[in-house]
Amino acid sequence: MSFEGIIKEINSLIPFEIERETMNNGVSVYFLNAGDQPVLKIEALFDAGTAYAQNQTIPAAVNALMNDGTNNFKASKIAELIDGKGAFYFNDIQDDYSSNVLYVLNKFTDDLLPLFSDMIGNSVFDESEVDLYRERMKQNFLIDREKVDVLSRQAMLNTMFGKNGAYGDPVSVTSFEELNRAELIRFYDRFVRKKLKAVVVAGQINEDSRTRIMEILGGLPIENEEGSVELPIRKDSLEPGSLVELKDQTKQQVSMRFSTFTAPPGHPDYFGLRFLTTVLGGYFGSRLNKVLREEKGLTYGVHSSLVHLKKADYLSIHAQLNSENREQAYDSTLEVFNQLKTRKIGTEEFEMVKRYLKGQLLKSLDGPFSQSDYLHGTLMLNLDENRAQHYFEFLERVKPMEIKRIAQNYLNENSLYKIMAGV
Amino acid sequence: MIKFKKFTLENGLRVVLHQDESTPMVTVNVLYDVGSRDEDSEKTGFAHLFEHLMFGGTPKVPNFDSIVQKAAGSNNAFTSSDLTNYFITLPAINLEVALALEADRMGGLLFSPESLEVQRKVVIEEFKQRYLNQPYGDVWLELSPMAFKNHPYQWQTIGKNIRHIEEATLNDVKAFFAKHYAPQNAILSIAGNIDLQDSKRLVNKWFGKINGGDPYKRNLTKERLQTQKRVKILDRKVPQNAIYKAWHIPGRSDDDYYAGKLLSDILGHGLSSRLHENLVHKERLFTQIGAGLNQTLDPGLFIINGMISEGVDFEKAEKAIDREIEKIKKNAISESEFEKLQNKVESVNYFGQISTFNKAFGLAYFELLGDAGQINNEMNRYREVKPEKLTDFAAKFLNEENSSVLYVQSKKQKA
Repeated sequence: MSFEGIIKEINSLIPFEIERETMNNGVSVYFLNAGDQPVLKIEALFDAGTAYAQNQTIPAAVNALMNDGTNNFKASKIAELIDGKGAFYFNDIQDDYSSNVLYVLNKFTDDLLPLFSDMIGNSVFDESEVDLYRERMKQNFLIDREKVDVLSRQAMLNTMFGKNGAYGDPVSVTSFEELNRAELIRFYDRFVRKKLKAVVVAGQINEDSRTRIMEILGGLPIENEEGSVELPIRKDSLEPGSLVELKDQTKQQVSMRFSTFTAPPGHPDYFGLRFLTTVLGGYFGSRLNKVLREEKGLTYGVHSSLVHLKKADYLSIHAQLNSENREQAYDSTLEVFNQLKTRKIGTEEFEMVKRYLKGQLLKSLDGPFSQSDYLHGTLMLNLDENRAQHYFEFLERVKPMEIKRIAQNYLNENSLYKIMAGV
Repeated sequence: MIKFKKFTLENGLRVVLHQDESTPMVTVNVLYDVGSRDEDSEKTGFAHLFEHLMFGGTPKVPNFDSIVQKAAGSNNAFTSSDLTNYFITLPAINLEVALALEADRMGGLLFSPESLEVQRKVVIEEFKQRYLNQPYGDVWLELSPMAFKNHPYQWQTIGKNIRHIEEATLNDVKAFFAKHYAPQNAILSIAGNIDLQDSKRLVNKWFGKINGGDPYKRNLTKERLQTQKRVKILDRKVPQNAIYKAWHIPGRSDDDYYAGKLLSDILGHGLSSRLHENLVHKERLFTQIGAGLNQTLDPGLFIINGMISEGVDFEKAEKAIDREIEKIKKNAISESEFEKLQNKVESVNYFGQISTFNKAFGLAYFELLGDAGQINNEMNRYREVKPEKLTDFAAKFLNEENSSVLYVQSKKQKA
């Protein structure tokens, strides 16, 4: 069946409107007014990711325990108020930043804003809450350590950045045991309570909730001075090239992970890298998924992605495989690299990826919540706020030769970090 | 309120359309009324294996995925014990591409032996990745057959064991398709930036000529009433002891389901829930605990599962859970606690209707239950539940003789 007649191309992205206001305390608040449901997502963002402490469980604990008691509300009261209004509260922490999010029905925004603000400015980190958290996280950590994909990820980060590098993963049981209230308060005071970086509000925003948000969150005493913290990015990292194997014969599968340093957003190769990563393992029809899954049945799925951190950028590939297939998967992956470096991507595949990526771009800006995720990158990783449009324009003009050149520059066996966990 | 238009083609295909002009996208969702409950007990895991094969190409379209991608879309599918669901989300300008693709594979597959061989291997790796190579991953493989002795819910969607997948033949595959994958057994729903008239025309154009197939008459073995508590201990190399307690309850359409759902919220959903507040926060018997029900169309299960704190034995942990259930049975639920539940229902309802996929699948799912319009009546059904109904529910279903309990014992920590 020919689809040529009915497939239509996307010609442009749909711009969306961001309104930016500065609150009384100097903090920027961004409003994304869209959607057809009477709900709001209110998000507070902080430069307080795991990279900001030697013991990475400290920033994570601070981020997680902000809803477990403030000067004015006990933990159980907070839970009761949030659940009571049918709201949802989430905390999230990345290497570079952390966020606290409230999803709330419009009509209850006013009821919960003072509480949300109190969590940012007046959390107390009660000893008993810290104890409870420590125990739960220690157990979760031990469970995670049974998973081969978690082990391979840790090994990858530690090889690339060093255990003591800001983006390494030194977390052990001891890290949790060393968690204490004083440390949490120190971190909270330094990086969170007076350092609210930005607020993002998305959903059906009415005049009333806009005013109240600016009033209440704008009333927090914030002291955002310039000057950033020096992060020890790579410390005791290893050279790439050799294969790191983590033995564990009780496992039914091996986790295979390859990674390599790439280029930051803004670099001339950036969009090409995004394109290449997609061709490689970034969608269902990718080269790796075709070979490893759809032709050979070696894995349930293989994925590649680009990771952008404030101070480092890398490409990572991951698959979970039957142990006995690992050599075949390893060789096949390198063979896919080789093909991309030596042969231009054929017109049919090239066009398909281009169109697919345009569709993904369109989707990534669809609706207030997707738009707020996009805004995240702009605010927290200093990405170009028009990057979607620029990427779209790149997709209009890119040629296969360009992607081949990028592959030659970045997909080299000698600069690959290679991990097999559960061998 | 989700507005929609509904009609049935001559071949029996049910169609539901929802127009949403706030998005440039559209989701085309095809739900087939077949799940793992429809499998032969000696050929389990088949509905799910089949889901993989639906991407293996047809005589006219050997490369399903690449057409979706060329049309700037993405697609996926999932299988449950009750249904198999396929969806494509793409720019609305390419609606017709998605319809042509779904109609084409509803009309017939290539049934290539190569595709079967490869997907068999992929599913076996999926089995390992999700069930066998995960801490606590095999809990459901153990708990379901404890609770269900007669009904096919006794096996998981992935299958009873890997052997069934290994032994599947091409003839099995063809027979399964003929039996279940016909317009009569399917619901097509479309949500997004569409023109209703034009969509109707396109649906007719692509799906109208497909042979309706024979109606599938479902005749499943009913689960016999459980009269005695069932207990099993699993020794596993996991770091922490865990408990799973399950009770038989009515299916998704039953009035009691709504009371059960609210009760599971009171007991074990959110940080203010009773189990969390009392057993994690105050008594510290568990590090995590939750309650929920599996939303099966036939009578299913109400489940409480918790990760037990170090030094607490199984008996003490289970007694604490039972105590919370006794409190529900004996004491009335306060108005404020009940109001909290209703607010949550409203919130889940709105947040759950945000993407085109959620709306498309939601409409198809309620049509499967009997009427797509019920999607707009869900909040009412919850609102009609009176607090006493929760007490009644607990008294009626959450009893020892109706329960199955699985203790997962850490090999490192004997309790």
